[in-house]
Amino acid sequence: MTVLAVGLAALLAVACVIAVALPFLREPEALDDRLGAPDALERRRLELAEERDRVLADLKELEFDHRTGKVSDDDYRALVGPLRSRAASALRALEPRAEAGNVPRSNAMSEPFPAPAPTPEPSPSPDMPQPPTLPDPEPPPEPFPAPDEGEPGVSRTIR
Amino acid sequence: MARQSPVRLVFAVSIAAVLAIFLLYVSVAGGTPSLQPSQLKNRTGKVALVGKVVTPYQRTEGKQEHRFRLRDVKGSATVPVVYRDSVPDQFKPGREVRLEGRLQNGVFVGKPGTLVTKCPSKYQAEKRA
Amino acid sequence: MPELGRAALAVCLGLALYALFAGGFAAFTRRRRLAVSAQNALIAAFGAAAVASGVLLSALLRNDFSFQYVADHTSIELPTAYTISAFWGGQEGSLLLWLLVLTGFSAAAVAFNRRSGRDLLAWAVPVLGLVAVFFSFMLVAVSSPFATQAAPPDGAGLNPSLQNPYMMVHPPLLYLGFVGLTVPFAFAIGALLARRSDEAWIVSTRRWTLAAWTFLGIGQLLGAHWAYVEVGWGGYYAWDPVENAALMPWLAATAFLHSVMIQEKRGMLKVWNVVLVVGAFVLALFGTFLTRSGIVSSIHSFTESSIGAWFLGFIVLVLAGSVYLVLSRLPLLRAKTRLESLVSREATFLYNNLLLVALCLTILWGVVFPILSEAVRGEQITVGAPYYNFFLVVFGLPLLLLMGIGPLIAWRRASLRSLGKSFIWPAAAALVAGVILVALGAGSSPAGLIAYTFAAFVLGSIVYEFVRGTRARRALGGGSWLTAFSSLVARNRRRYGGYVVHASIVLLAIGVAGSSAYDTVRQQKLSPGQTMAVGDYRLTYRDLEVRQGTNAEELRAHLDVERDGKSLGSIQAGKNDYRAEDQVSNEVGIRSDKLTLEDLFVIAEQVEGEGNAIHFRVLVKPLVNLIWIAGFVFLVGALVAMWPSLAEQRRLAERYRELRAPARA
Repeated sequence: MTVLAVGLAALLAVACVIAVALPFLREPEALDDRLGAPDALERRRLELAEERDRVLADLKELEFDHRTGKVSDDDYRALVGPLRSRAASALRALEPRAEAGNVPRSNAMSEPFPAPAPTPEPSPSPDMPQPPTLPDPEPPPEPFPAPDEGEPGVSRTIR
Repeated sequence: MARQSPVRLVFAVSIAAVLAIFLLYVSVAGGTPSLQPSQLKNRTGKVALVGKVVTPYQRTEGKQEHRFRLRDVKGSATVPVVYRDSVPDQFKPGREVRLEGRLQNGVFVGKPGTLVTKCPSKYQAEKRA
Repeated sequence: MPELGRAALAVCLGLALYALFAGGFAAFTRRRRLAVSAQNALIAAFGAAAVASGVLLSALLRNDFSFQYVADHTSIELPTAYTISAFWGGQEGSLLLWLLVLTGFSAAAVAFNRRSGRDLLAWAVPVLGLVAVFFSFMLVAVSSPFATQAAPPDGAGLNPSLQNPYMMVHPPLLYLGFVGLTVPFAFAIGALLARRSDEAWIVSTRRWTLAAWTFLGIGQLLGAHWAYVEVGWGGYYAWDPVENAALMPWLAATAFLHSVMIQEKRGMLKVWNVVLVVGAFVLALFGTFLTRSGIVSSIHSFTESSIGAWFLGFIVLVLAGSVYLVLSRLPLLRAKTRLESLVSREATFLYNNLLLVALCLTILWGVVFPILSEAVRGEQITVGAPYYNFFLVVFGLPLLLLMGIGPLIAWRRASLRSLGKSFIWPAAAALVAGVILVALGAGSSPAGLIAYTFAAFVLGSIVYEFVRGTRARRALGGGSWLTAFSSLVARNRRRYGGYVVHASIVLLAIGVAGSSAYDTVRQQKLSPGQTMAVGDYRLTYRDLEVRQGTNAEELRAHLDVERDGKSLGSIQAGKNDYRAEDQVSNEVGIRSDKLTLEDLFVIAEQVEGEGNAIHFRVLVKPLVNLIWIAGFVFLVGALVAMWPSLAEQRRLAERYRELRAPARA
C-alpha cells in the first residue's frame, strides 16, 4: 500500500512540475517575454473606452427612462443635450479620424450613432421639441447598446 | 451642486446618527455579563451563568422544576441552581450550559426560557428550551 | 494511503508558494512565461487538492478507521450519504473542503481570464496563491486530516443531530459562498498592485461576486430552515455568533454589489468599493475563525485549538496589507465625478450602502463585544437577541423602503415632480395595504405594521417598474406583452433580475415580520384527552406512542387539530432516543397551512412518567413559509441577473482587448 502511495505521490509531483514548467518547455527562447501591460497610451484608451461606454449607456438609459415616464420631459430636455455632446466628444476622442462607414457624419456636431440599426427606433416622445443647440436633421436611432444590453447583430470595432 | 461633495456630508451625518442611536440603546438596555460560578460571588444583578452541570440533579415530577449544581468549566467552584422551565433534551450532568437569572439567597434562580446547552464536539448545533 | 494524502497536500503547498513568489516576481518584472507558469501552478494546485480530497473521501467510504478523522466522525452503520457529509463534519476535513473549493475557483478564474487583462491576472495570481498558502499550510502543519492511528473496530459515529439532508448541502453551499469572495478580492488587490484604476477587475469578477453572494444567501436560508425544522425551538435564527459569521460577509457583499453599480455608472466610489470587497473577504475569514477558535461562546461550540491564532494572524496580515495598498494607491483612485444630487439613484444606493454597512458593523460589534469586555473589564458581557433585533428594525426598515424608492428614481438627478408621479401607484398600494392591515389587527405591532406597509410599497414599485418597462418596450418594438416582457428582461438582466431579488427580500421581510411580530405562543401541560387552545387552533392530546426506529426509540404524542370547529387532521410531536449515541433529539410537529402560509408548531418539551402527561409548547407562526418561498424567488432572480449575454461578453472583451498583443498567443 505504501509503495503504491509513494508511487502515486511521485507521479503527482512530476505532473505538477511539468505543468509549472510548461511555458518554458513550449518556448525555450521566446521572442517577446514581456507581459502585456497597458502603458500610458493604452490606459488612456481604456479610460476613454470606459467613458464612452458609460455615456452611451447613460444616454440609452435616459431615453428609456423618459419613455417609461421615470424622467419628466423637463428633466429629459435638461439632461439629454449635455449628455449627447459628451457622447460625441467621447467618441471623437477615440476616433481622431472618422472611419468610413463607422460614424455617419451628417454635420460638424456628428450624431454618434451607427448608421445601420436592425430596428430603427422611432423618435422619442413626439411632444419633445428638438433641442436647438444640436442641429438634428433626423431623429436619432437607438443609441449604442450599453455594456449590459445587447443589440444582437450590431458590432462596433474601434481601430 | 456645491463643490464640496455632499457624499462626505452624508457619510458624516450618517455615522453620527448611527453612533447616537447605538449609544442610546446600549446605555438603556445594556448587556448581560457572562460569568462562571467562581465569579458569581455576591452579585445580585441579572447575569448569565455558564458552567458544567454536576450532580446532584433533581427533577420534580409533575412540575417543570430542575435543581442541579453548576461548576466552573475548568475549575471546582460550584453553585446550586434552580430552573423552572423545561430543559433541552441534551441537558444532563456533564454538559455545559448557559442560563440567565440572578443569585437569591445563595441559590441561582434561572430565568425561564434562557437555558441553552452546549455540546463539546465540533459543529454541533444545540437546542434551547 | 494517508501518505498520498499528506504528499498531495505538501505538493499543493509547494505549488501555492510558487504561485505566490514566482507569480509576484513575474508580475513585478513583467515576465510573461513565468506569469503563465505561476497560473499553471494554481491550476495544478487544484489537482493536488483534488487528489488529497479523493484520498479522504475514499477512506471515508471504505470506513478506514486507521485514519483518525474517519474514526472520529463516522461509524460502520452510518448511511453512505452522511459518511460523505462527514468530509466537512470536522475541523480538518472542512479545511480541506475550503482548500479544494479555493484552488478550484482559482483555477477557474485563471482559465477564464487568461486571454484578457493579462497584467491584472498576473497580479491576482500571487494574491490567490497567498490565500492558498495559508490554507494548505494549515492542513500540512497544524490540522491534518491524514493523522493515523491503530484502527479501532468501529468509529465514533456522526452526531444524530447532523444526520439529516441539510448536512449534505448547508456547509458546502456556505463554503462556495465564503471562498467565492476570494476571487473578487484577489482581482481588486491585483488591480491595485498593477496600479490600474479602470474597471477591468469589476467586470471580470462581476459574476463571481454574484454567484458567491447567492451561494451564501441560499446556504444561510437552508441553515435557518434546518434550525427551524430539526432543532425545533420555534425559531429560525438565534443571532448566534456562528450564524452572524455568515451574515456579516453577506451584508458586506450586498453593499458591494450595489456600490459597484455606482462606480460603473459614474466612475466614483472606487476606494469605497475596494474597501467593501476587502471587508467582505476579511469578514468571511473572520467568520470561519469565529466558528473554529472557540473564542466566542456560542451554542455551536468548537474545540479551542491553536488554529484560531493562526487565522487571526492571517486576517491581520490581509487587513494590514490591504490598508497599506489602498493608502498608497489613493491618488490613483480619485473620483472624477461628484454626486450631483441627494435625490438620485446614486444617492439611494449610497444610503443603502450606509445602512447595510451600519447593520453589518453593529452585528460585528455585538459579536466581539464579549471578547472586548473580557479584555477590558475581566468578564464577558454578551448582548442578546434584543440588541440585534433592535438594530435589525432600525436599519432594516429604511433599507426595505429604499428598495422601493431606488428603482423609481432616475440616475444623476430626479425632480421631485417626476418622483411624485412615479410614487403614486406604489404609495397607493402601500396605503391600501396599511389600512387593510390595521383593520385586520396588525396594529398590535407597530414595527410589523410598518414592515408590511413598506413591503407593499416595494412590491408595488417593482410591479410598476415591470409594467412601465414592458409597456415602453412594446411601444418600441411591437409584439405581444409576453415578448415585450421577455425582451425587456433579456436586454437588462442585471436590473430586472435584481428587481426579482428585491421582491424575494421583501417576501423574506414579510415572512420574518409575520412570524416574529404576530406569533402566538402557549405552554401547557396536557394529560391524554385534554385540549389546549392556541390562536385559532384547538389541540387535543390523544395518546403517546412508543415505537422502535432504525437506530432510535421514537416517542410520539398524537394530537388532533381543530380550527373553527373543523378538523384539520392530526399532528405528531415527540423525541427520538438514540441509545448508541446516548442522545435525545427533539422531533417537532409542524402543520403548514397552504392558504395562509402559517405554521402550527408543536413541541413536546417534557414527558412525565406518570400518566404520560406532556408539557407542550405550541406556537402559531403567521406567514413563516414566505421565508422559504422567498428563497426560490431569490434563486430565480439571481440566476436572471447572472445569466451571460453574448453581446455583452463580446463588447467587454473588445473593450479590454490588448492593443499590443504579445508575439505569441
